[in-house]
Amino acid sequence: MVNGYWKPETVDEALALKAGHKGSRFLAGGTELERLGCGVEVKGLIDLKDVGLDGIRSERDGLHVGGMVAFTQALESDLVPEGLKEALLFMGSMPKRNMATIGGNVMRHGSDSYLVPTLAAYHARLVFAAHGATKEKAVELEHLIRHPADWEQGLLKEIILDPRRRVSSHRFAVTTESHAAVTLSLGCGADGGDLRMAAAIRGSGIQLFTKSQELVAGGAGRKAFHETLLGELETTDDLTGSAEYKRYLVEEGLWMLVEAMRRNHV
Amino acid sequence: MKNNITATINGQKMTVEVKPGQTLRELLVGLGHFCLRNSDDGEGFCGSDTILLDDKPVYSNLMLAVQADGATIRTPDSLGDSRHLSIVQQAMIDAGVVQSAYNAPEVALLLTWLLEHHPNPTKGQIRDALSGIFIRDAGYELYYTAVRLAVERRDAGSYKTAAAPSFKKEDTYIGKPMGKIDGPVLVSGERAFVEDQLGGDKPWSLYLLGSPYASAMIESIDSTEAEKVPGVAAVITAANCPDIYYMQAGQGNPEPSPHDRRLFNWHVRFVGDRVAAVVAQDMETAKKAASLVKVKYRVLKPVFTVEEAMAPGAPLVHNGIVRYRSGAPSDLDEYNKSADPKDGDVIYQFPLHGDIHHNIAAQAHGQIGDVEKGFAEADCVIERTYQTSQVQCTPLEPHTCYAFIKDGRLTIHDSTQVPWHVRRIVAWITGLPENKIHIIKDRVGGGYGSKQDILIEDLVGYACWITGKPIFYQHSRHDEFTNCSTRHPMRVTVKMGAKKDGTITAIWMDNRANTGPYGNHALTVPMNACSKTLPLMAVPNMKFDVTTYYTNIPPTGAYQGYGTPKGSYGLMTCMAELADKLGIDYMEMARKNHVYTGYRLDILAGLGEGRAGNVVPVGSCGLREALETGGKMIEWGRKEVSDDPDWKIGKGFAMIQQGSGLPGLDQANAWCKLLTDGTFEIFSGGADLGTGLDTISAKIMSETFCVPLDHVTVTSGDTDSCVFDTGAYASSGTFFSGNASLLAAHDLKDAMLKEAAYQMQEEEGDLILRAPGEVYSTKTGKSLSYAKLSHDTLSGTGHGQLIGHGGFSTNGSAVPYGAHFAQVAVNVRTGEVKVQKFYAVQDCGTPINPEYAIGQVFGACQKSIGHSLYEGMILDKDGVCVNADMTDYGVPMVWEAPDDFKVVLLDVKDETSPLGAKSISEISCNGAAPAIAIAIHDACGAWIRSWPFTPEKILRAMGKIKE
Repeated sequence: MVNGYWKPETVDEALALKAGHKGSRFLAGGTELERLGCGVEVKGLIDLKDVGLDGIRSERDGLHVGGMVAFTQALESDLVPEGLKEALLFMGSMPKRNMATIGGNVMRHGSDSYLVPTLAAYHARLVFAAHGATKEKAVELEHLIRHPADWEQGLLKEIILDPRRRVSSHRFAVTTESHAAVTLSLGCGADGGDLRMAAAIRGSGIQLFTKSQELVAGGAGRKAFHETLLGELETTDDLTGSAEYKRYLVEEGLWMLVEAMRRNHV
Repeated sequence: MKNNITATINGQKMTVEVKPGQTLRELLVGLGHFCLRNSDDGEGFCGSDTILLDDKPVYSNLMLAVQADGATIRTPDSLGDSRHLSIVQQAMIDAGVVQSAYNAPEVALLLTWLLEHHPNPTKGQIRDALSGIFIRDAGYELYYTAVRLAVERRDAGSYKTAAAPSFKKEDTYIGKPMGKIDGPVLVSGERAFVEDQLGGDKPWSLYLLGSPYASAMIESIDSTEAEKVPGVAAVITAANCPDIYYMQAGQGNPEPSPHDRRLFNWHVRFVGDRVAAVVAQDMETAKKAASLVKVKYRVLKPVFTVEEAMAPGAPLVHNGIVRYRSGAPSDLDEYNKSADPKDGDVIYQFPLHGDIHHNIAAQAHGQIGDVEKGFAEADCVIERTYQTSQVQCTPLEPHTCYAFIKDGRLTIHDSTQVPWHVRRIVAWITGLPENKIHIIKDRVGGGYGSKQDILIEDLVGYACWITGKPIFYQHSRHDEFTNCSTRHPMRVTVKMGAKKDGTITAIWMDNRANTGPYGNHALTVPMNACSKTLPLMAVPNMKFDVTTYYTNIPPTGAYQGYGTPKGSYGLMTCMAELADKLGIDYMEMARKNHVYTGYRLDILAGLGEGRAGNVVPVGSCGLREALETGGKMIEWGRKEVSDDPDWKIGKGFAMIQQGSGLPGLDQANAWCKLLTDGTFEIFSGGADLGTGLDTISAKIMSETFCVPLDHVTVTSGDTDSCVFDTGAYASSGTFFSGNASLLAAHDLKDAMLKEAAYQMQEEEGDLILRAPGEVYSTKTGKSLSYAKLSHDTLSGTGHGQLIGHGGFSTNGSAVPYGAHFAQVAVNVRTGEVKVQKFYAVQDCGTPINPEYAIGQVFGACQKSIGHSLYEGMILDKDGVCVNADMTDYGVPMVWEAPDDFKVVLLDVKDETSPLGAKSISEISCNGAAPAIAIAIHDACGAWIRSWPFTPEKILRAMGKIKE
């Protein structure tokens, strides 16, 4: 049961509360932390609603999306690119979209994450504020995916992405509300270069495929891609499907995205 | 933690105290907004807890109350009360979507919000508005109608669109879309369900300790320490519960299910099986006490599948003493020599041909003609095996009851389909005579068969009686998965032979069913897989074998459609496979081999579900018309081609039938009276599950007496005020309970005419009843109002209150027929399936409530699309259900509904039904699985022979996934 609840008005206040209350967690939208089966022990909640992280703005270095921007808010913004909107709509339930935040979903980085593969394909950077630190810190999302221990960076303030990138994603789930077996994303720069591939694979986590994306960027064909990808890929059996099925889906699904990109349909 | 919040709730600013950890839903319910329900243990799935917070729909279960500080909140009950409905609320009733309605108020709120933001919403916007709410009863299709009606009335003051077609021109109420008499209360969120009956009462809690093992003997159980906990009233276990064997299936007595359990058993037979029940003043105390119950288990090896159960030397699920109330075999003493008395008795009311030494709960066999000869005559014979999964009903309202003692009697408010069966079984267990037990069926927020079974009332009733405490008990959603009725998983083998021209020469159907730990419906569900499928076929040589096995999976029971969806899947898919092998058109094969009016159904002789079956000719039969109509709609024979080469399109269909009640077994009764002001009350024994049965009774009264619907009040399912009815199952509602109401109305009419003849000094034959509620003499032109008629007969010199009674039973049955058609798109690279079109064409005779009948068809089809493509309980190697929540289980929501979804009702008159109506709801569960399986094959060449048809299975069947 949750025994503590605080509603700070600044980021610094939020960080201080977290540092001062062991077992407390930041509360974003609540669709995960307050949900049945969330699997997270929570003693106290620090509500981030009023700390001013709900803005979306376009800057020279990219699109800045505040960590507390709700899915619905992002969908309604003209600044948010279509590739990200496609992933936001993977959350099929409208009430949940009203509540869930982009930062909350990213920081859960679950193996059926709606957004992390897409943001990785956007080559996103996450900006954190840490308690006691004088400056905020920008970390590449891909770094966090490769080094899961580094997720604990403090409070996620905003996500920066290049909205000019062309990104396409696909979510494979039995029903819209089911956990996805696999969520895939492929992105490239506006000029078609700087290819990024990412997947959230249920039971195995979020994965990047550096060698495979290099091959594809170099114009490699299906066979080479298949062989290389399978060497980079980890899957496991679970309720959403067998390991073989997920391996198949990642390979086939990513190649479908590659084909579409090559046809310039991304 | 903050103690108070200030929020504006439904326009009123207020400061309220909040408790630590309290959810916003709990706070709002405490403030009187009890229509905010918990259908999913706070999972954020079903939407029964939806509110508007700062003008955005959100789930109130996923928020702490303290988060609402400063917020503006609207709850569903702010829209309008039952006497002052909003346009949206009324439109929902008129469209036919307010059925079991557990979360109808929340839908009304969502649609109201939608129209405030999008005054003329597109279908896509409506779908998005409904994306966070789970509708199990009526599907989603009619909500587009509801929105259209609301927009029309908002803009023009009245509807332009007809909510549903009308039937029976000559009648005013029967066959006309006229709303639902309980619709206003349900859609506005007023008190209707069991949990709303508590009022200010603070009932006691009951906590159930369940077995952690799929099979174990309880060697010892010690509840001494638990009983000492302050606030505990009782701890009930196998050691102190009544030594009374019964079964939980709600069926007519003598039941065709073995009495193979007590309230608590020494042998626990599934994970979650009852070990101890603690009655305490609150749940926290009950759980604490439960943790002090000391149980010593001897763990046994379980079996989970039919194959494991039938293997030589398999562990036995039941090994106690077998007894018979009638029809005992001569070698019973010998049979019982190896019994373990502690294992618990298995008592048959009459022979079910069970053999617990081989884990067989029941068997049935029969044939007509000579199938071997038939196979020998065939040009092509195939044999295929199909497997169905364990599918959950998932009613929005979990199983709920509230028991208390009043005036020395045990009273139970119950969400049930079978009030009289509940009373009988509770009487057996408590030892009380039936007159000391009062069952009140409240509104039922979804049943679908699961509330035909008496799963909690047995224990709660007993616990209340022995402790004297009022007890409120509601399953959690997890309990609904693990301790509730599911479909019987079934292995259906069909062998079918046909000539080159498609004439079928022989069919053999072998059903191996998995009944789980207890034999609820162990004979009747699997037999139904044959009895409602084989009689579709005009084939002279047919054989069926039905064997039901005990295993240690979670319990099975009744679910809409009963055994037929599984049998239909096997039989129809096999026929399609045979057509494919012969290279002929499956539609031609169906046309060649289906029954027709007058065809003698000899196969029924052996399909009586525990007694001799009734051989009858086919009565009214709309099968051919359904095939032709649906075939035309889907353009059968025309190959569709997608623009995207990765997607292949296919079509399939299935012929279907069901029954209308159980002829020779069911009985329904009703009685009615004329009140002193000329209005009426009718007391129907039937149990309205939200399907509109009460409205049927009201319409019958209105039609008979020429009065508006609001001059009739219906009371139903109350064992004190109403009269016996077998219950709402086997599609008996309209045909049995409706006909009982009709007979009661006619009986009262006769009484009124007789009395009016006396009062008016006229000949009875010259009198008629007419609007607005009077007796009229066609001879003299005199009239007498019902009010005066009633007043005078109740005077000091009168003859007494005018009442009518009707009892209906029959050996006849109005059999509904139909055909369901599906068009699917299959992505041959990913295995994804989309149902593009689904057309349900059914002959239902005269639907009394057409809009509600259509809603039920949509709902049943959507459920069946669910069990075909998405749903199935998954157990681990220890028998634990690992997907016992809504997200993991996989029910279809609005995004899974077919793009083009239609229901066509064929008006095929039935002479056996006094109302001209046939059943409509269960039959609608029978077509989706075969239609979709056949369509998938048509699309990509893969036959999928097990539920659900997942993308992974499709890919494997296409050879795309290598091990």
